Amino acid sequence: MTVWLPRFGWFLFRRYGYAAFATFVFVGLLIANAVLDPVLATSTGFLDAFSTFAPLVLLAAAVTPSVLSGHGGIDLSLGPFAGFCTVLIGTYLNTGVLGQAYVVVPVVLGMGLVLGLVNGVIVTIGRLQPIVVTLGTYLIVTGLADHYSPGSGGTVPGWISAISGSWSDVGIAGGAVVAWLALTRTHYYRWLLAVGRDDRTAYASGMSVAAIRTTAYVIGGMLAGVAGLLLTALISGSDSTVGPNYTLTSIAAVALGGTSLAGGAGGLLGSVVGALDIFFIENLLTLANVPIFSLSLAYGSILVVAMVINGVVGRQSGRLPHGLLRTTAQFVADVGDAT
Amino acid sequence: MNKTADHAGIPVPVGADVEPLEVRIGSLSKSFGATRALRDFSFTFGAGSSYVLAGENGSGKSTFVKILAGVLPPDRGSIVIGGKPLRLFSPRSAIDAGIATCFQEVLVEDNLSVLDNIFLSDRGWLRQRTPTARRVEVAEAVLSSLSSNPPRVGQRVDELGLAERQLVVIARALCQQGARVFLLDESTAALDQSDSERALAVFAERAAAGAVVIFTSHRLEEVERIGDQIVVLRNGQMSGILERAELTEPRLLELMSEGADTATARRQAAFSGGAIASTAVATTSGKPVGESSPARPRLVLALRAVSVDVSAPTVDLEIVSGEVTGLAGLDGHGQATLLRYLGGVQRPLVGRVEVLRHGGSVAVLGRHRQAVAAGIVYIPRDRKTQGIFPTLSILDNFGLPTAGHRSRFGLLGTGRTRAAFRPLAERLAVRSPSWRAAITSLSGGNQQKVLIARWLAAHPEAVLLDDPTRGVDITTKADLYALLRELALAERAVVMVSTELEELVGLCDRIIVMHRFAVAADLRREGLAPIRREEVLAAMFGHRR
Repeated sequence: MTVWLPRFGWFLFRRYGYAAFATFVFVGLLIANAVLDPVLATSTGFLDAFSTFAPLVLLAAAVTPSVLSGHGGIDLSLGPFAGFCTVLIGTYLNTGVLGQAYVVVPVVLGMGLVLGLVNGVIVTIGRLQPIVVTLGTYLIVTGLADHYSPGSGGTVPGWISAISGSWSDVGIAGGAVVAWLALTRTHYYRWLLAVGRDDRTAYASGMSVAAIRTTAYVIGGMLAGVAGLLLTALISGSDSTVGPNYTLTSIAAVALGGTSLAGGAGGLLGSVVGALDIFFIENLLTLANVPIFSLSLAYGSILVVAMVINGVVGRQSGRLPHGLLRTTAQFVADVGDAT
Repeated sequence: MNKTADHAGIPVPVGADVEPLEVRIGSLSKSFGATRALRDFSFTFGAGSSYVLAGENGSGKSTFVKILAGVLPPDRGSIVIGGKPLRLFSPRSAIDAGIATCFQEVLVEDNLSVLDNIFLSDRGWLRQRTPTARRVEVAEAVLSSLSSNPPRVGQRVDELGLAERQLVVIARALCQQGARVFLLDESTAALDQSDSERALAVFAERAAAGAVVIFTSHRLEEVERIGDQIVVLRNGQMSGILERAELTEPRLLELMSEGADTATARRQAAFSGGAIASTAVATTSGKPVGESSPARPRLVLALRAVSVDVSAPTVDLEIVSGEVTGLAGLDGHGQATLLRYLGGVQRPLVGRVEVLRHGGSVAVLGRHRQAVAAGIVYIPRDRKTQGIFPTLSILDNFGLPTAGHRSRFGLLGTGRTRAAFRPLAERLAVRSPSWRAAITSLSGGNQQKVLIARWLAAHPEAVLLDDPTRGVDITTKADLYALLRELALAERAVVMVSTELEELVGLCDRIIVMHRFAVAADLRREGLAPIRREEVLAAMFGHRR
């Protein structure tokens, strides 16, 4: 084995090690799903599946910045917001000029921005618990969606329903992830991690903790806007009830993806993989003909077991100084160096 | 902010080209509730000089540092730098005004690299203001000027030890753009001797280049080496200014401590120990005092091949009852961990903790419950988070952990709790208007007394204390010293970790000094002569004799 490979492994581990367990599970689930559900491996099967899980993936991604920003950071209002987007598009932004992409996309992203700004400002300036604040906005956004919902399906512009099940779906979701990856190369991202880990140090070093945290919520809101677009495409109509269901699942995906709910550690890619894990678990359970009434039970149990294993494997303290995975990765890198 | 200077090829020093400006402080005041932490502090720090702010804990040093660093807003007063009045409303504004601060706590971001930690105050949302190549250049130069064995800039800070983290924090101040005022709050404490000397030399250089350097310290040996002038604080007020030439230990102590004579007398009374009848212990234990002969201690706490850190040799120790044992060492060298092992609140990675009783029975400690059953009480350092129940009353804070002994049919007996608390409160002189008041209404020292009373009520065989006199006033300290001596006289094992060398030397029969997670020295009092502080200090810095 050449020297660079273990070094590269160590680099990957240091950068993405938090998501190691989720990735491991993902690979297993991918194989199991591909074997048991060969349709997935075809182009249409893959695209259909993709459009099904894309909203969850993006919502999990959208929750991540607020979680990373620390101090109990979380944003519960993003799921309902995606649902609100379906109502908005399905009821109002569907005809004439209003239905054009150059109107719909900025409006949806702009509303995400405003929602994030409201959440972020209340959390930072008001120094309130994010879980309580965003629970409030969760209810407000859910209420808005109900209020403006036409009651029946609604219609969406053709270009939106065409997204679902096509490569543009992959393009949009991929674009959002690439935008995030670009963000991780900014100075801001290091600030975000610093604020998330220890905001006293960050403050004493002259960072504007409030601005940095608020920006995290804004980024989350805008990602949720993208999720709202894809959700609208998926259901091809307006549905005020679909959003709230996503909230808890997306947070589970974040946790499964190895992002610390205490903040400062983890990342968006982990949440993406975590969301994929959840989708594949659901898919497997459906394939296994688990009765619909037991689905939640089975799915919840698997999730708890997975989180426990994730917690034990990824633990940074305890009997082993740096966790089993870290020790192993370091060992492999050292052996690589020695040879 | 001068862009061309930022990007010019000159590697170090970053802040050497600042124009020398004096810092004029005008009647600065700050109160926390009823405590007046800083009262009308006025002084002019001249450019090109270094100063030491000396004073005991709670004298206002740290409050001053925090105000000048922009962390705390002052109630009144002015700060004028080079004739320009400064309004500090956040650390950012202080940094922009050229003030670089190392706080007493080692503030680092664990999840970031050394380099990112050093340039934590750099500006720029999308791109960092200082390009990475220059960052590396400056950081490496500064780090290697500070230490013979500096951490690599790419290392993550959570891989570093305390001393290296401290270096990172100092380097952050030195790398700060345009820094002309350096504030160092006890910042060389964790460094070893040679690095600490190098750091002081670097700051002396900066002072010579026109900066103002302000250290705070209560350690005489440090005060002597640094500082053209020593500004002494006492109870938030300036009590005197000493030139370096006129500095002597008695003079400094006199300025530092209020009514130095009476305090010293109190201290000596406490150290000489046990003159006062051991009422508290006799009443709480209900057992006759001194039943065992000195040759066979009543209780031995034994550490058998215990590892504090994987990198260090294991520790074998026997701590016997009937004496006060001190655990000394620089912060973070394993003494607190050792105390937690002894108290059963943390299980060692390797090795065993045993309790040997007079009768010969041996118990191996693995769990906190076993330690409690063996009569070992552990009083943690962090009173606020690990000691008190802040929302409960004084009486509940005293009584809850031992409530089981006093309950009837599962019901708490307030009367019985009061009866149990009364003698202890009197003995420890807990000063409070009402036992029903919230514990947070008490001063730190009195809170500590309530906590100690809490555990004395559990009839302890061994009392383990982590820095019990931290943030405690001098009168209460004397009370506590007397109590600990009494406990030892009553054949209890008393083990304490302390950061105050004077206290350990004055109080302890035996001092175990830790250095890098291993025992560096095990010193014992010979007859009446106390353990020599020089020996303890040398061992703390790893100089074996």
